[in-house]
Amino acid sequence: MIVPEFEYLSPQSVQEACALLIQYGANAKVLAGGSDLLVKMKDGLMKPAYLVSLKNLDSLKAIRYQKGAGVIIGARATHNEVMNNDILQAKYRSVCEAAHSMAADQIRNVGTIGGNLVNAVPSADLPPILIALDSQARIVGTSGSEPFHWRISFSDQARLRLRAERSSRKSSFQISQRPAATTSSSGCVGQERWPWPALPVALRSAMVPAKTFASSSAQWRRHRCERVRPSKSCAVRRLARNSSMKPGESPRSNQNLSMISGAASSIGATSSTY
Amino acid sequence: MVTAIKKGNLHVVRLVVNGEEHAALVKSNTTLLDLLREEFDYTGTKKGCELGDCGACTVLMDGKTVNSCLVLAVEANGHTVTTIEGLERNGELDRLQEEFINQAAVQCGYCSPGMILSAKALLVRNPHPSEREVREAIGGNLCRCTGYVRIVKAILAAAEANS
Repeated sequence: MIVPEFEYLSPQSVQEACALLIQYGANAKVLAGGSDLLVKMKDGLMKPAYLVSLKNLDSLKAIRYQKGAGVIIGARATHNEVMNNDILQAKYRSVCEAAHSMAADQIRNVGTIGGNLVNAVPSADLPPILIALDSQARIVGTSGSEPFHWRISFSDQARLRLRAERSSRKSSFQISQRPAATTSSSGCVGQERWPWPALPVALRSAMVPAKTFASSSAQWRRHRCERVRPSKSCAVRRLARNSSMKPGESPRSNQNLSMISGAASSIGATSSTY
Repeated sequence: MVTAIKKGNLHVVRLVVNGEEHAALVKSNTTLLDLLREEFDYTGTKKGCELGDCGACTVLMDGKTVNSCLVLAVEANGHTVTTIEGLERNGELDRLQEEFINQAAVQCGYCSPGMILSAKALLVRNPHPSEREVREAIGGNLCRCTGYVRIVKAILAAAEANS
């Protein structure tokens, strides 16, 4: 099984990577772990002329805590790095558990959180918990301006869409994945409404108090058992019944809960079509 | 940081395989698996599904398991790789290899190199794993002869011998 020929580019900085993506446009794809992209190329679903490797961009691997901002996870952090990270284990254990449920050790050692998000497959392990925790994607381009913050959510279509909305202005773009897809992968997210190619460089997880977090982790575990249920309304009812929320509790928890329900039922709906 | 040097359409790749420095000129679409097997003759690394599902091509890159069919050779530039040939020391097999023989954990043997390397990575980071941890560690390695019981026994026996 042969990977189609391409030109390999290894930029030394995020800005250089963005410049290359602009220069080559739709002919270029971003290579991070490659565990999805190379399989698609071998299967003949993609034939990019250029691969822009993020190998040298070690700054994108960091996972750090920033007071007031929460935990910032570099887009190139691998699943095993997310899973074994002390900060995440202490503050967002459910993210570690979701990363752990992903594939096997060999894939978790190369596959990245950024790649997992932008690949946007219905069976992805990380997006639901990142949505539940109200995390944001920070996406950078070459414009030189401040990176934008994006809110991630799933639509509940049979075709999965991962939507990122810019909170400051009314514009949005989406990464979509269709069966037999030929759409974007591994970080190249140039879409029709987005004027230039962009790289997701970090996920900024909003501050969630430990108590709320513990409860959302428990909800998540419960819901993992429930997502095989075919009926959306049934899952939602059950969640509502199981919810430990009391009247008057913060709407934030409420929102988290409904997002979990939406994402999980979307997974249930789409997985049956495969 | 080691940056790949480009010569025409080829890239110069330098990496340490089983303690020996190697260099090769590769095309950008050459996988680490093909580089190891075709250029360096480390044919103990097996070619299976080539899609990252079966784990037959498992090698250790900087001590971590990877599917070498899904790693481009240019991406492995500057890294340290261990294949099944690199486990023996001074003509003596690694304890894991010994136990695979003792426990008759080899049937056709095609999955064995990958299985042993996945187990090796586990025992390095966790010298006394539980059976569940062993089963999880070899979760990315498929045995079509379905001889998992003896494979797990062999890995646990090697861990026991470590203590």
